[in-house]
Amino acid sequence: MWKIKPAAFLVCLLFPLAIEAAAVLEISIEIKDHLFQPAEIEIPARTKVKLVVANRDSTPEEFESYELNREKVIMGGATATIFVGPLEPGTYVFFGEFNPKTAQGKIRVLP
Amino acid sequence: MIDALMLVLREALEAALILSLLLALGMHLKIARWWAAFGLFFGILLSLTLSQNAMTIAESIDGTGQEIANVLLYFLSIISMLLINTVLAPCLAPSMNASSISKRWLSTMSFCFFVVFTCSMAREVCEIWIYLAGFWGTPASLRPALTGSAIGFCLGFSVGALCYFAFLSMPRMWFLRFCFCMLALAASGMSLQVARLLMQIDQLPSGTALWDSSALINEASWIGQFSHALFGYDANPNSTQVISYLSCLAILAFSCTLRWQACQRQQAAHAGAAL
Repeated sequence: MWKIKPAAFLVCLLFPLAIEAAAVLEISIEIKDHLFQPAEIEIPARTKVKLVVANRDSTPEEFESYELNREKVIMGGATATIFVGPLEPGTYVFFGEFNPKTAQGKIRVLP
Repeated sequence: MIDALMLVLREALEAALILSLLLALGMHLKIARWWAAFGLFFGILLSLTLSQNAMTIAESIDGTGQEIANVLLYFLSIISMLLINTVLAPCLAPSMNASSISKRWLSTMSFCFFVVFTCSMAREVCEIWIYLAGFWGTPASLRPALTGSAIGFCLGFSVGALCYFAFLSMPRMWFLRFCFCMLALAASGMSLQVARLLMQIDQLPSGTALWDSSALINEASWIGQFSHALFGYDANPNSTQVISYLSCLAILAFSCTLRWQACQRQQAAHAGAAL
């Protein structure tokens, strides 16, 4: 007769989460003088990415991308986390909605 | 100035379109307009509170506070819009009369109007306050930003006013059917936004886009912005967002069927009593 041990059951439940956590790639971006630094990022295809965006300006900025389907306000001096992907190979543009002329960047997803 | 104009126009358009649709629906159903004044007041108050505490909110719940707050606002709007449509559903058949909606349901509807408008104002205007706060220390930049914002706001609400008069000029039955469809699309569009926000904080699986319709309607274009404001148009949604969208429509269909059946039973009972 099969008996399910609580600890083993918990490990089985958490196993997919552990795999997912390990697969997340972390990339840092800074906003300084209304510019994204680096303005271009390369990431592998079909990989989940954690973007850590630090706004070094004193004014707020909104990270926005139609292609990535993301939108987040980052207050002056604050750091925000945005998960993107998994993405197919290609170029995905993002910009700062509060300073769209200067704050521009792109993510290149490599095959 | 142009940046401020475009940003405020985008935000104002969404709130103005929702307001014009609800105001016209209220006029067609003869619902008192107290909700619009209260919605405007509490919406601005809530937007100010949210923008003043934006940093605290953003840093709360492990840095996901901003998304959670927006999800809550969207969720309240979705529930309210689904309830409005559920009450409205039986009135869409020629055999049923819109005046047959009981006073209790009309009161519920006006409260739902209030919730939808308040949440819409809070979401959209909060971003405008945060944007303008960035110019507060620099008077040279503040003036063009304020001018652009004022023009954007007026343009957004002018489009809303035009839509309102167009809605009022429609025959009542046609408008009720049109309004039902628009509210269904708006609620589903918001559920799509909820899914997007939850994916952004890694609380829902985020797969690759199912299709890309940006060649047809680009989200950055005027039609794209208008469609986004009206029914949450997304050029490249993924499976999670599409499931969220369809689930919202399915819940609406289920609740409308239940209400429809209840009305049919009520009508049959009245007819039986008359005989």
